[in-house]
Amino acid sequence: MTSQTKRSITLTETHSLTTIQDLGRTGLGFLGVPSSGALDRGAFLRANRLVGNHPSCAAIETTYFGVSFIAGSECTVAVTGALCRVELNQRASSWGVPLALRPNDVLRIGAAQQGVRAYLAINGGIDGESYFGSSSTDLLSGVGPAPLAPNDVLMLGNSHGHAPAIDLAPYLGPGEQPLLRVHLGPRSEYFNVQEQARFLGQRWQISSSSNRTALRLHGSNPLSYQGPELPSEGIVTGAIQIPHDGQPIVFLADHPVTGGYPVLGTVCDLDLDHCAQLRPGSTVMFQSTPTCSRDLLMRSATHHY
Amino acid sequence: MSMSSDPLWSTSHLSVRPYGDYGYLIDVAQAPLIPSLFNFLRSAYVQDRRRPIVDVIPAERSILVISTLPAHDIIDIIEAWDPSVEQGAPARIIDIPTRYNGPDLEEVARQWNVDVQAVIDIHVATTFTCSFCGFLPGFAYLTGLPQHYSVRRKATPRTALSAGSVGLAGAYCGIYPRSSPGGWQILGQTEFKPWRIDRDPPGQIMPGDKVRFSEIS
Repeated sequence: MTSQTKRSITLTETHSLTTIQDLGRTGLGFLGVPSSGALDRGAFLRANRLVGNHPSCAAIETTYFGVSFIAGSECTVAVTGALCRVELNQRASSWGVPLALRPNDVLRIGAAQQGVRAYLAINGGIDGESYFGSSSTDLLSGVGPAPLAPNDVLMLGNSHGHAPAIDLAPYLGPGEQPLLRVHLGPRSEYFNVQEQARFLGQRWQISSSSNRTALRLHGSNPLSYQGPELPSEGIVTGAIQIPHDGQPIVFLADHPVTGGYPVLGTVCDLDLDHCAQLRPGSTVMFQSTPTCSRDLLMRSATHHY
Repeated sequence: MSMSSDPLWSTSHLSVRPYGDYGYLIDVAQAPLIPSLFNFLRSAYVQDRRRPIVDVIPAERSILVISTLPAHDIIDIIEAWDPSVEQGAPARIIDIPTRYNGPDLEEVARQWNVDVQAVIDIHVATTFTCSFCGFLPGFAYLTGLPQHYSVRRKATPRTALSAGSVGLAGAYCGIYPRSSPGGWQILGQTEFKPWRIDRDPPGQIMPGDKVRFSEIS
């Protein structure tokens, strides 16, 4: 079923934020290690499903710019996440479907046309070195493999040989007028009713300094707040921290485990994937929601599928 | 639409607030209780093979629990904690041999209104406790200095502090696990490695551990 020789691909083009990601490492926050992992988990999981992989298999995450590689052996690949041009041996090929590659085939993924981060999954997954149960590159703390570079040879895991569970992934980007649902708290009492209304009532622009650590937002009406100096406290992915300048910061997968500014609200887990795809210069609004999506974290945070 | 974040539950010394879909932030009125509650919650995490508690993150005055459990289960667990019972293994005492040659000894001496030798003597005589980790993997926030020995951070942070730098900020002491920019006042240098990726756990100073510094030349 699977070849005895180790399968691999060789990268020919990478950019500064081309990294290996999986579902991240959990349970190490008390040591100061963020969870890391694919920013757009939904797109990451769809890529793995398209090639018949276990959901935890490591894949490649790109940021705006694409990636190219030469297949060292037969493999099945799929590209999801940001919409981008896919070329197989210099001919237009398809995004969001499984592609069968033969040895020496060249696959090129172009720059993102919509969204920011694309995912490239390969059947068998990337068999990278595991750091505390994950192959994810954590750019904040330096845990995990280095960002990818041209001429890197990536070994592939054994393919289970399962037929893909799906054969087409739709584009599920944040849309033209993205709205992120938030649970207010835990420090919303630092903000009076007018400031909370100001937060929910304006369009926030995504700053170009956004990265895997955080989305940095800019609004024409920055928030203000009063209250005692807050001692540093644990922060969760999706936490919206308001520093003294009143411009919100939304923490993403590579966030520091603690922070010292009040957290006004937290982006609903269901909407975190959109944060991965918001382009600098675009705008976003927040909507308060009381409901929870607890069942989904079962999947993403504990790795039990 | 709720505009406030009222605690889900509170007592005279604890209050629990929801934090996003899966977080519970426990404010702890008395900071010295944090290691005990942390160890209690962490043992609940380790003992339950279903791993419904994903992470337990202690900080200065709070503990963040990330869990798929509903609020009433989390509160049941917290209610079972008895602060008078020693939690987990007895605290280890970790010795940190330190060369007191740091660039900020004189500034700390000025802030404490003592001479440089007294800064070293006070630091060596203090038994520190790791309250929590953060900032960088393996960076332990060590408490134990009396509040009147709090120091102000550098007005301008240094762009690069070497791994092993031993410094003070506020009433905290810390050891830089790797080279990093930083605003802490540096007293000296140690060969001790707080973060070892080849060990399990990689963090060599954990919340609840006791730490003492010894002077080497």
